[in-house]
Amino acid sequence: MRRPAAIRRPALRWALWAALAGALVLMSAPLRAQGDEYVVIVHPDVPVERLSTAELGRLFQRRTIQWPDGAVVMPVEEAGVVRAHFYRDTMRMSVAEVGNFWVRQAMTAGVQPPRLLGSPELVIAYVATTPGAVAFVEASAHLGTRVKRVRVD
Amino acid sequence: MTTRVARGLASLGLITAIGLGFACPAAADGESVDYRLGLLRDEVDVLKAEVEAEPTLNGYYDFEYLVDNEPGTPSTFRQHHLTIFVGAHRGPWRLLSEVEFEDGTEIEGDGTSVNGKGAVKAENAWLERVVSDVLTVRTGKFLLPQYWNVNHYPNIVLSTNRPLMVRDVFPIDTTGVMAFGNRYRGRLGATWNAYVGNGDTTGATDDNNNKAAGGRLTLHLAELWAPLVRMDVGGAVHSERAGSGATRDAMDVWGVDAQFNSRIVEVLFEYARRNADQPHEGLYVQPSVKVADTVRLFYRYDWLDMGVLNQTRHTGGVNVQPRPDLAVKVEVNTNRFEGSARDDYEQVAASLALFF
Repeated sequence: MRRPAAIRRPALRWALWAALAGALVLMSAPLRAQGDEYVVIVHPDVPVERLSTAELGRLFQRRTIQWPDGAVVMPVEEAGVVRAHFYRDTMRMSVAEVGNFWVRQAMTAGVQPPRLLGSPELVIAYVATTPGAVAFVEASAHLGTRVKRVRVD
Repeated sequence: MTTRVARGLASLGLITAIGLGFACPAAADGESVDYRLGLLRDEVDVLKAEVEAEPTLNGYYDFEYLVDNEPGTPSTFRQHHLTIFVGAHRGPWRLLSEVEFEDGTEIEGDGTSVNGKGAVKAENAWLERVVSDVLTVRTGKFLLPQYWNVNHYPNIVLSTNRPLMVRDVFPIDTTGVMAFGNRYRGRLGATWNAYVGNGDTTGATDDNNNKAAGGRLTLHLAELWAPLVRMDVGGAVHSERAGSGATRDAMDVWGVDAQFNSRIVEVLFEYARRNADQPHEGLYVQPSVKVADTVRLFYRYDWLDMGVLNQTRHTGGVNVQPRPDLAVKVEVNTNRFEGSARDDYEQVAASLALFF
């Protein structure tokens, strides 16, 4: 079967391939913007008021290990479905993909994932008492006054 | 396992402390809340001390079946690796060791001589001091920072066979000192590595004063465009005097690489060239597509020119990861040779790999 003349032209053929690749990339984009499922909290001494989703991704992947004042970043995570929302917004990954990421980090860099705590209360208590701590908890959690909520841009 | 137990015990302690705090009517009083928080702070300190004191124990296992139509090579089962990682973390100090038992290692001795098969190797054994985001200093034996070389583990890479160029253009590892770090400005990031170590040597210590030296710079561009999980572009150089005895030839290597990942589509590329008495040059391009949550189809084009031998390989395969720590792979490859009497051949390779 003879192909259409347009397909036989190399430039058009490349353009079609590029369009296909672009479509695949766009299909893999997050389907929605950052949600309201969680809030991000830090120890009161941490000198930040707002963080971008990209900065949060780096903090929880342990790529950024220091706060602006030099204190060591101590990320902890709340177990449960809130992790899926947080990973999607900040790392553009699923829980399984983040699991893959940490397998890779353990093998290539000896770096372990942030500690996983079982309830929002535990997370808040940890952050309140640990300098440099940062965490996400479900939005309905009662934060109290001993942790600082940061705005996520 | 022990780390999990420590975490569990410590979490139990925290839960108990919080439970006491909520259960005690006096907790409504501000001073009592402070007292309870003091207790909680002590619990957290104990938790941190316990977890930090625990070494981490990980490893991986992989098993392969290989069959090809090259004359004189029977099909084979291969218990390729059983590898143990031990890590430790002491404040800003971090240690990682990786001991590899390859090909079903057996070592037997009768008091006067030792016989065996397979290999035992310390692939990584390093201690590093984390100074800041932009500076970590690592000492010991470490892998050189080329992409596939660092990420070569069978449960991580998609294929059973590694690319032809890997280990034949850049050296694999060195024993020495490496400094590295990363820096982000806005959404643009960069990672740098620089190292100096022993050159090509057969002994426990270097046998000449011509040290190997090299470096790498990687740009992280993924944050510039939201759909991308990874878009890294890097370049690396390495130089040493290779060979043995009085005559050592200069060996200068350079390479470029790129990794692109949008969750569904991933493309890996590396090119490197070794300028030496016997030049080596090679590249691979590996596009892959995720066709289901746990299934990825891949293709790889390999080319390696070793001066006297030129090989190309086309590989197509499927990688299934039912869990993040388990990979099942099947691939078919065709191999063509130029400048050699070696016959072209086709191969089927299948493998299982588990991280634990």
